[in-house]
Amino acid sequence: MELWNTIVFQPLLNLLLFLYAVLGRNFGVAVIVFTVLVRLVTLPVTQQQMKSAKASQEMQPKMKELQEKYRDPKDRDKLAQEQMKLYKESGVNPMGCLVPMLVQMPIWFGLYQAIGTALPQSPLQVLNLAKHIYSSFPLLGNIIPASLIPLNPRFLWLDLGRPDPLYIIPIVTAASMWVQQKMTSPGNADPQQQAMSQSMELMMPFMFAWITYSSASGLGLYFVATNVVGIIQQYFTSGWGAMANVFRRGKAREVAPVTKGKGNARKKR
Amino acid sequence: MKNGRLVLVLSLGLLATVLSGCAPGVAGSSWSSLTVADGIVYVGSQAGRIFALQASSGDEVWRFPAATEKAGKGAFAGTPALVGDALYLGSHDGYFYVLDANTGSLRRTMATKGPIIADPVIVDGALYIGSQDRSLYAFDAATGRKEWEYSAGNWIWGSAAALGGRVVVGSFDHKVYCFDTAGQLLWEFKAEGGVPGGVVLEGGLVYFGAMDNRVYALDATDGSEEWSVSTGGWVWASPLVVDGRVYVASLDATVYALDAVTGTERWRYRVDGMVRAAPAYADGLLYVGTETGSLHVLDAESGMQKWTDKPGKSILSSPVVDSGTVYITTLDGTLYAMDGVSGVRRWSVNPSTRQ
Repeated sequence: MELWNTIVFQPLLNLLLFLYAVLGRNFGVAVIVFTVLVRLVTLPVTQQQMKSAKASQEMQPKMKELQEKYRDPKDRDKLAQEQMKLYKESGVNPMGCLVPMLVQMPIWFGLYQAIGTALPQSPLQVLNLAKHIYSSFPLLGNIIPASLIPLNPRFLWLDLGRPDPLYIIPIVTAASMWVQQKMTSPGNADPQQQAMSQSMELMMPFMFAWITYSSASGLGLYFVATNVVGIIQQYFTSGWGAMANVFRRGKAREVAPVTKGKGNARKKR
Repeated sequence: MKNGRLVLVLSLGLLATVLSGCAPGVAGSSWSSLTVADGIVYVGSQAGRIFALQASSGDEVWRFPAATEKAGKGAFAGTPALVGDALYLGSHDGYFYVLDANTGSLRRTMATKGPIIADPVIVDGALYIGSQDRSLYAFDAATGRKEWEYSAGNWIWGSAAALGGRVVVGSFDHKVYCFDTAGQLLWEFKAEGGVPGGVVLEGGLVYFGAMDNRVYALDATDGSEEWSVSTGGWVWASPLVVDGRVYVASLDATVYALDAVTGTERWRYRVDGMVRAAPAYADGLLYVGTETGSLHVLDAESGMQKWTDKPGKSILSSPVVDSGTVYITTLDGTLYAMDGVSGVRRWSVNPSTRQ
C-alpha cells in the first residue's frame, strides 16, 4: 500500500492539486487537462492498439474465407492454426486491446482515489489529505498552498466530489464509450464472436455508467474526457470504423419509409 | 481474441465493483470525543449512539437511542457538553440533541442544514454551535429556540469560544469571526489557511491554529494580530492555555509550548505521529494523543516525557483527565482509562460492540 501511494496515488493527487492551483482553481478544468496529459503519456500504447484494431478490421474478409474453408468441426484445430497464422501475417495481436486498458487501470484507480481525497467531505478525509499532500516539499509547498484546501468542487452544474444529480455524466460516459468501442470494433466474421462483441459493446458502457452513477462525478468527468479524446484520436487513425455503418443505417432509415416500406406492404398482400 | 475479451470484461467488472464499493463517503467518517463529570463518562459513537458509562469501571449506565432501537442517529463527533442535568451533542445527521443526562432520554433536537462536527459551547444560557452548512448558530439552551445564525464562507468544524459578551469562531474560509451575543459581527480576521479547529478566548486574546501551519494570537477587542508562530504542518488542534503558556500541537507531529503573551517558544517535543486534538493538562502534566495511536505524557514545565502508552488505534480526540485518571477514546471507538501518573491501565471497553 505504501508503495502504491508513493508511486501512483500521491503523484496523481499532487499533480491534480498543482493543476488546480495553476488553472484558475477550477477542479473540472484540472481533471480535463489531467486527462489530456494521461492520454499523451499513454499515446504510444493507445496508438498501437488503434493500428491493431484497424488491421483487425481489414483482415475480417480473409477470416471469413478461412471459416468457410474449414467449416467442418473436424477442422477446428486447423482453423485455429490458420487464424493464428493470419493474425501473425497481419501484425495483429489478439490480446492487443488489453495492454492499453491494463496500463490505464492503475491510473483510473489512482485518479479515483485522488479525486475522493482532494475533495474531502469529512474530518477523516481531510486528515487523509494532510497525510498525502506534498506540502512539506519547499517548492511544491508554495505551488500547492494550504489556502487551496478545501478545494472548490463546483464545475458547471456538478459538485465533483459527489455523484451527478442530473445523471448527465453517466449517460454521456456510456454514450461516448459506446461510440469509441464501435469505432474500434473489428466487425467480426464469426457470428458467435460478433454477438459477443455486440453484447460487450453494450455491457461496458452500462458498467461505466453504473460506476459514474454511484461515485464522484469528477471520475465521470475523467471518463467522458478520456473517451472524447480517444474518439478524436481514433478518428484520425482509422476514421469512423464500424460507426460509419451506424451512420449509414441511420441514413437508410431516413429514406426507407418511401421505398422499402411500400415494397414490404405489397409483399404481405 | 475471445479469451482476451473475457479477461477484459472480468477486469472491468472487478474495477467497477471496487470503484463503486469504495465510493468516498459523504458523512460519518470522523471520530468521537468524550467528557467526564460526576463519575460518569459521556461519549458519542460513529454508529450514531451516545453512551454514559461508569468512570470507575466502564460499565454502561445508559445509551441513546435505547438498545431496543436497532438504528442509531448520525455519527456523533463532538465533545458532549453537560450543563446541569442536560447533555448536549451535535450529530452528522445535522441535528443537535439534548438528552437527560441521568436517563439518556431525548428532551429536544435543534436542526441545522449540515453535519455537525464541532463541540457545543454553552455560556449564559446560550448554545453556540457551528455546522458544515457554513453557519454558526446561537440557540436558547433551555428551550432550543434559534436566536440567530451567521453564514460564513465555508464549513465550521471548530468549537466557538464565548466570554465577556463576545463569541468567536473560525471557519474553513480562513477567517475568524467575532460577534456580540446578539449576533452582530464585531470584527473578522483572515489567516492564510482554513481554521479547522476550535478557538480559545483567554486573557483578552483569541488563540487558534490554521491550515497555513501557524498558531495565532489576536486581540479580542479588535481582532488585530498580537503574534503568530509557524509550525511544520497544519494546526488543527485547539490551543490549550494554562498559567501563561499556550500548548499547541500540529500535524507536524510536534507539541509546542509558547509564551501566551509574546508567542516565544519555551520548548517543543517531537512525538511519533500527527497530533489532531488539543492536549489535556492536569497537575503539571500534559497528555497528548497521536494519529499513530500513542498517548504521550509530558512534563508541562520542561517538555520531558514522563510515560507513554500505545493502545493501538489512532487517538484523534483530546484526552480527558478527571480525579487522577486519564481517559482516551481511539478511532475504533474503544475507551481506555489509565492512571494519570503511572499509566497503569484500569479498564478498556468498546461500548459500540457491547450488546
